[in-house]
Amino acid sequence: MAKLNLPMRGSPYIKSGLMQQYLQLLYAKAGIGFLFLLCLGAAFLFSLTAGSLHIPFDKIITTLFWQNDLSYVIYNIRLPRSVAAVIAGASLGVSGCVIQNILKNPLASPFTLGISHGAAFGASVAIIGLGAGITHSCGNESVSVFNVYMVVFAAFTGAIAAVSIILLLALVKKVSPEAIVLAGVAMSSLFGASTMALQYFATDFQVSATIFWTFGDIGKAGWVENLIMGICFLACLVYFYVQRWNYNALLWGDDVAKGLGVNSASLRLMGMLLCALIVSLCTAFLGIIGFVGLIAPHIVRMIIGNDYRFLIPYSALFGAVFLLVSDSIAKMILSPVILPVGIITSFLGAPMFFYLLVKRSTL
Amino acid sequence: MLKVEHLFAGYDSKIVLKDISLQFHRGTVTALLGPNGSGKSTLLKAIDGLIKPDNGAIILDTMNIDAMTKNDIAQSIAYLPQSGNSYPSCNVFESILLGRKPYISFEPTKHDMEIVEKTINNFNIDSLAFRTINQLSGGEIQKVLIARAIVQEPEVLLLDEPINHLDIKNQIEILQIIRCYTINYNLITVIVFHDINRALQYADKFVVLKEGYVYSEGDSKIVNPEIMKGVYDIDLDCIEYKGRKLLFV
Ligand SMILES: Nc1ncnc2c1ncn2[C@@H]1O[C@H](COP(=O)(O)OP(=O)(O)OP(=O)(O)O)[C@@H](O)[C@H]1O
Ligand SMILES: [Mg+2]
Repeated sequence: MAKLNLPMRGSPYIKSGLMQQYLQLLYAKAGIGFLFLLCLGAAFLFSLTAGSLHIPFDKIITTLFWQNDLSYVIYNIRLPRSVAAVIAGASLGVSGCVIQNILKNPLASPFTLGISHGAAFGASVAIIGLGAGITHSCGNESVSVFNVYMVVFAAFTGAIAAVSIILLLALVKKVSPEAIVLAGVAMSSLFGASTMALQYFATDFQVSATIFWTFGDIGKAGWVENLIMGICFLACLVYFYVQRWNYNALLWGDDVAKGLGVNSASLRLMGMLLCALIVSLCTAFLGIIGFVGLIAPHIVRMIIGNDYRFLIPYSALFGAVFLLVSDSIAKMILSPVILPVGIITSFLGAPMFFYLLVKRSTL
Repeated sequence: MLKVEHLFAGYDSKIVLKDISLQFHRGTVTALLGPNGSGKSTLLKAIDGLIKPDNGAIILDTMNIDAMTKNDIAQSIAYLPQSGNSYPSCNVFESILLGRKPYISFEPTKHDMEIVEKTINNFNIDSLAFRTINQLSGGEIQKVLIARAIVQEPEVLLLDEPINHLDIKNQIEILQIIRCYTINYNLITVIVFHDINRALQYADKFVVLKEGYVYSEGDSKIVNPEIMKGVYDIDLDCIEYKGRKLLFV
């Protein structure tokens, strides 16, 4: 038989430039991360200027460093809002990219696990069942006064309840990722129906209060909320980043990943648990903010490829930029009225997504 | 040496492999033959520790696979699953570098990347190195996947139908590469074949499975019309041509 002249084990390495080329690719990708960071900084400063009261750029800068008459607005309204947008956007973006990996489904997003419907149901129980939304009528106007913490707590419980059932299923029955996605669809419609049933027996004011709750609104966050969301997000981000090579292996399917030493079952379970945690927190505090978790990882993937070393941090960055920009637009477009940011994320995201899809398929 | 001792293994409720005892030696290519559903893929999965044996043991040199960590197994055994249908959109270099995962603690070192570069050169796929996987042909993808198994620097190479869907030139090329690595790197190589003649051409040892049992094992003598009749229930003829044995219908 003809023998190929392959070198023996331990033969010396002969340079052919491939490694150099690969490293250059990595540096380029790292450079893109730097660009994302710049965008984040710019979007953050810009979002501070936007609001019912327009504050010019130089005023923002000076107020950030020196006490003046705008300090109250900046420190108690603008800053917490922008920080919340960064944390929530990053949480949604990073969990989207992880969920899409572990569920092997490009259509998956954090809400695939039923978090949004679970949270909405929880909030409805608090508002309608537990009377957290008390309605005062003064003339024609109705004002809903929320027991905010009860609603937040109930929404968080609802979201976690929805996810727990799915996680339990995954843990006990070892179901496939496809089955998890289907279970998520089932849980979503179950909780959606329960919410509607509750609303059917509620007063008009209560119904409008629950619907109003579902519109994600970043302005609900204060420093305490930001601190809680921020700490959980950072802890999860570190975990996800540590697992980046495992996610890269899992892209190739369970058998390949296991063959490379990955414990795919526990990777999946931990991923779902942590994504559920940070997204449930954001949703409970801010309401439902759709589309960010779905689109951020896709856009980043189109730019830098399918490498979780970059996808994880960049999905977070992109999610943050995207939510900041959306929120700025929400604040400005009908100023002084502030639109719910969820409307803007979809209006902005869908065309952007289409554009990239079309552009890429013609490349 | 890789020893499979009285192995019983299978899935949840179903036992597929029944009392398998085999030995595989370094520097030899073993062909795993048998009809569909006879347990070939299951045997490879069991050897790689992907499914736990219900009974019996798999022993590499002196270590029981069951007692090794997943990462240790990944450093000693490389496994190429029966071909899937979709691949992620990674480039070839990244895809092969993934084979170094069992050795990567934080990021790949220069050494890891050198091994990848060397293997790409050996496989003669330099021109593909920065193309995306799902833009490659089936044969090219198969080369990439085998290259990934090679950069894992395993002692045992398990390949499940590596040459399916390949044209005859690629079949020969890939099998020659595998054979070279087996000899030069002194690997224990096990390949699942469906093409009996291709197996005869490239393997040193043969194992024939039927319904989860070892029907026959040994050198090329066991690949004969009687045994094939017993396993596949078809009548084959056998001729010798230029020192090679050929079986055909
Ligand atoms: N994940 C699974 N769960 C349950 N049973 C399985 C699973 N995979 C395979 N089997 C069963 O185990 C038996 C052996 O399957 P295996 O895949 O090992 O066969 P094979 O020899 O590789 O066949 P082929 O030539 O078709 O690849 C078959 O009866 C099959 O139905
Ligand atoms: Mg098989």
